[in-house]
Amino acid sequence: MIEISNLTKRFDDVTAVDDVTAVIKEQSVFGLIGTNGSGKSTMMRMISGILKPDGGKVRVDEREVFENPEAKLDIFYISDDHFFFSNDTPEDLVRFYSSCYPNYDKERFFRLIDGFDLPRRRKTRTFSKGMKKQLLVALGLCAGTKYMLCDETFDGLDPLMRQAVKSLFANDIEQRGLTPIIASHNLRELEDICDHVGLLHKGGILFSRDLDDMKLGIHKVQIVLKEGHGEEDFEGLDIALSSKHGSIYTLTVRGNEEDILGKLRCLETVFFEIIPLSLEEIFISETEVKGYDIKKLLL
Amino acid sequence: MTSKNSFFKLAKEDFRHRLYLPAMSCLAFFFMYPVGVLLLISSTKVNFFFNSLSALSYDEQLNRAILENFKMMYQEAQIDSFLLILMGLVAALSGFAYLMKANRSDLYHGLPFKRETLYLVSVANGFLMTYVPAFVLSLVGGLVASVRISSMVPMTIMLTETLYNIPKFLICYASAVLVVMLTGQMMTAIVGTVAVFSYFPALATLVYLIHTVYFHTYYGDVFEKVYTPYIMISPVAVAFSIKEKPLMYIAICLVVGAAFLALALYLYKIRPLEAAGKALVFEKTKFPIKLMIVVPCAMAGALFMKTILASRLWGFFGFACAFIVVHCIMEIVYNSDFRSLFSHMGQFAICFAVGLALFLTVSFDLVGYDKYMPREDEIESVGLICYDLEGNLYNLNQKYELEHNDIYDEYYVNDTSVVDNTEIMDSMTITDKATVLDIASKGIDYTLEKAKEEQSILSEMLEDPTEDYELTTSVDLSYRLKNGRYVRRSYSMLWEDVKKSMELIHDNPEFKKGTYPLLTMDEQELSGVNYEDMLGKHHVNADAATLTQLMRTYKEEFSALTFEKRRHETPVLCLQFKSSDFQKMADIMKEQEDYYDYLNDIYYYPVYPSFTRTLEILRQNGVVDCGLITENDVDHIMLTYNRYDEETEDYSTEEYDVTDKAQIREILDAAVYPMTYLNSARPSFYGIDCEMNFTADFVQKANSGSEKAYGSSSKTDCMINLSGDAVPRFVMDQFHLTRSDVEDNVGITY
Repeated sequence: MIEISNLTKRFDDVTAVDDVTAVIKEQSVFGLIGTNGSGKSTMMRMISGILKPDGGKVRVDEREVFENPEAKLDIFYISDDHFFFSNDTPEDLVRFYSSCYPNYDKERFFRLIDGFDLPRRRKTRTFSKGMKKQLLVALGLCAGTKYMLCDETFDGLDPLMRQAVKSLFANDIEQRGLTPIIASHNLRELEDICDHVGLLHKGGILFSRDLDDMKLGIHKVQIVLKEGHGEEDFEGLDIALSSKHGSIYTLTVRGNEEDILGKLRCLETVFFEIIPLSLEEIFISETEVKGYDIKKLLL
Repeated sequence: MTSKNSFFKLAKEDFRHRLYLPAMSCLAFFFMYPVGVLLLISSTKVNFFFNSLSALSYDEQLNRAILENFKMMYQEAQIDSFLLILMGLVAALSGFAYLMKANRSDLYHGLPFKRETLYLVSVANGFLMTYVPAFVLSLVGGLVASVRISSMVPMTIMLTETLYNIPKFLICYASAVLVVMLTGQMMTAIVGTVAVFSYFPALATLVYLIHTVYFHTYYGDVFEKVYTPYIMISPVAVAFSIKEKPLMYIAICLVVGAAFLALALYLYKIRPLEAAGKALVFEKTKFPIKLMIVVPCAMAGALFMKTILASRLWGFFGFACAFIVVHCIMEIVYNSDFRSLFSHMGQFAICFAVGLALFLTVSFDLVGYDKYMPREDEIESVGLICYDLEGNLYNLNQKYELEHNDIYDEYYVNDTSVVDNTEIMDSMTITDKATVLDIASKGIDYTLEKAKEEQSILSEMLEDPTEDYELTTSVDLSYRLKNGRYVRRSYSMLWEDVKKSMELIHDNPEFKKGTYPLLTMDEQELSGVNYEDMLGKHHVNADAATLTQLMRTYKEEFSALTFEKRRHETPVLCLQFKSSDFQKMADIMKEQEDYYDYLNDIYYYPVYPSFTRTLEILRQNGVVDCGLITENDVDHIMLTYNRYDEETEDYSTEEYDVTDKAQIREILDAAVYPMTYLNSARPSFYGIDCEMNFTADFVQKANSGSEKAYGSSSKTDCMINLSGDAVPRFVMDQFHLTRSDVEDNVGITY
């Protein structure tokens, strides 16, 4: 488990991360969402023990991570702008990383890059952005670390590859208890992979919740009311968002599903149904609660 | 993960990623050692001069020549050390280049290693990747030379030198690593390293130039007071001083090098990684570094303008311009933003205030440097040098050493040593403080008055060339204070103002003792005496007791010589008192038929006509001095006058052969003989050349009592001058000279 408490980091006059507290549970995918400059990368660099926090702590399995090789052995960090030695090939890189991580699984690495159709002996500087991301994911997965920090790693992967990576993550989570932490500015990228999300804004965390918990507390409803009825009938519902196209109302309603269904049954409706919410819609409602307009934050 | 295994794995990976470094090192040292040695051998063969007089064979001489050149190149010039230090800089910069880029830094610091491990891997690899190729190839070079000359000496030299190179390399490499830890950009790291190597020598030069330009009484004791203490702060200077005092400097290199590496490690541990890409990593270092650069640069600007235009105002202009430009450049470098020129006005103000205080201090001599004169009760003793009191100081104090030429197995005299005026002054113990302080006081007044006149270049340009000529002199003083400190100053002054005091100093036995090495020479050291007369140089043929008596007598009479007497007499002979070391040098050179003539040109002391006891001893031993020449000894004297016609701007030569004995007598009475050493203050007239031809009888008599000194040729005539105050009337009439014509061609009279 990674415990982040009152984490603060300043660069000259700019506070990049401001008093952030969060917990990242094991064997789940943690998504760290925020706009550019919101402090995601800084936070990832502090979690991976690269940057020293100006305040607060990052504890990985109850160990301080900064300057602690024992704790760092459990972390593999893929940065947004990952450095590749200019003349290195995937073979050279795996030799480099395997000299750093004692449990490195070289065989699996070669299986993976063969699966990704990446050439073993081609210089990485000739790789495309997407190929480099695939290579990094393969390198990270084979390091045998408990935590894998991916900063904007999905940016540049095609949908097929994203699915492949997701399934690899799912496999490793199940097989060896991997905990991927994925930072992204794109909600849609994380939608179907994260179990838990944290939203960073201006260095501070707006909230950090389980996606399932969030989904339990908010629902999307499509309703067609009988003639002579209107929006005033929705008074009993805690509506976060509403829109109307023709005679169809689309509502985002807070509350548990049964309560909402009970209230809907009391209405004079021609038709109603609860449909799945997108992550974006969940965020819209959650951030509105905090007094922010998510559209200005992320979209 | 800090196990030895991981360390070596990481070191191996670092080696792989910096493979270019050992490759560069191999290439550079391949040309430096094996190729360099082969070139040296070939070049020696081409330029070798075989000495047939030597007992050694051609091959032996050639081998020795190769060995000498080998020593010169690899032992004395230390060119290889320069290359090694340069490679050390490349190693330091490449080893920590990952700190300069954020993504590279993230990669390394995200790995499960402590910073200590990363640091040690990089430092150790840097050393090994540059030093090991140098070491191996140096031994190859040594082997090549050893095989060629069939001697293990080159091998031994190479081995010793490469071991010497370790401390040299360490201190420079550690300095570069330290600079890298302070900087966040490669360019700043390179500039910073160069600055660390050269800052203090450059500062020493600036301090020296400030002294010479702003302080008019600065003596110029450059090395002792300025260069040595400043330059030795440079790692390169320390490294290249190892040969002077090996144990001390090796210890300094190792201790300082280790301390720098430890400090660099500490800085690495506290280094904020987000500083990658910034000019300087630690905020706290920015201002002191700025101050250390901006103020000296501003002073250099002031110095530049002052040197060109010789005025304080222009000096200030130079100061202000240099200050603003350099300060702005530093702000741009610090902030990587041109618009940040004046972003730290507080620091700007402090730097300017410090610089201005320094500028005003030197411009207006607020510390009273030029007016400094210690109180009489502070002074222990004083040393004084004035070339107008003793013009032959250099010749009398020159030091020669006998050295061996290994190529031809011969000895030779090394005459390259330079007389150190400071050493002469500091060893002088004049206790007549009042007289010295009077000279100093006059010197200060005159020097500062002249400096004031030179404040503007215009005043210099408009100077009236017809202005009355004033006889001036220069005096160097060294005050030895009671607290053990030496303070030295240099003054110029009007001779007339200090004439009496200078004469007192001249006549002072303490001054003479410090000026003339003969007066402190032990009688036991004396091994022979030579003399120079009108016909050349000869040995004094006398027994040791007589020579000792001669030396003792001469010392007494020379010590009693007053300036007034010098003004009215001209020497009739010069004496060279040879120490046993000097004689040994002469004998060896004579034996080897080497060029030793210049030994006849040094250490000669004048014998004045009033040195009657000295002359008596000499005459008793067959020496014919100039005072003994009569008109009957001279066959004729050819006078030559070169007349200059102002209208045609041409010279015409007029001659007059003097054969009349009365006229010859008159010339003899006014004669100034051509001694190597002239200590007389009596003025000579240079308008007429006088070639005096002696009779055969006189030449025989003059040479009969003594043996010709080594290298001295037989002569039957000599060129003389006439004393300026005693040019015979008939000479003036013959060439239609007026008194004024004579005075225009007379040497300066002190």
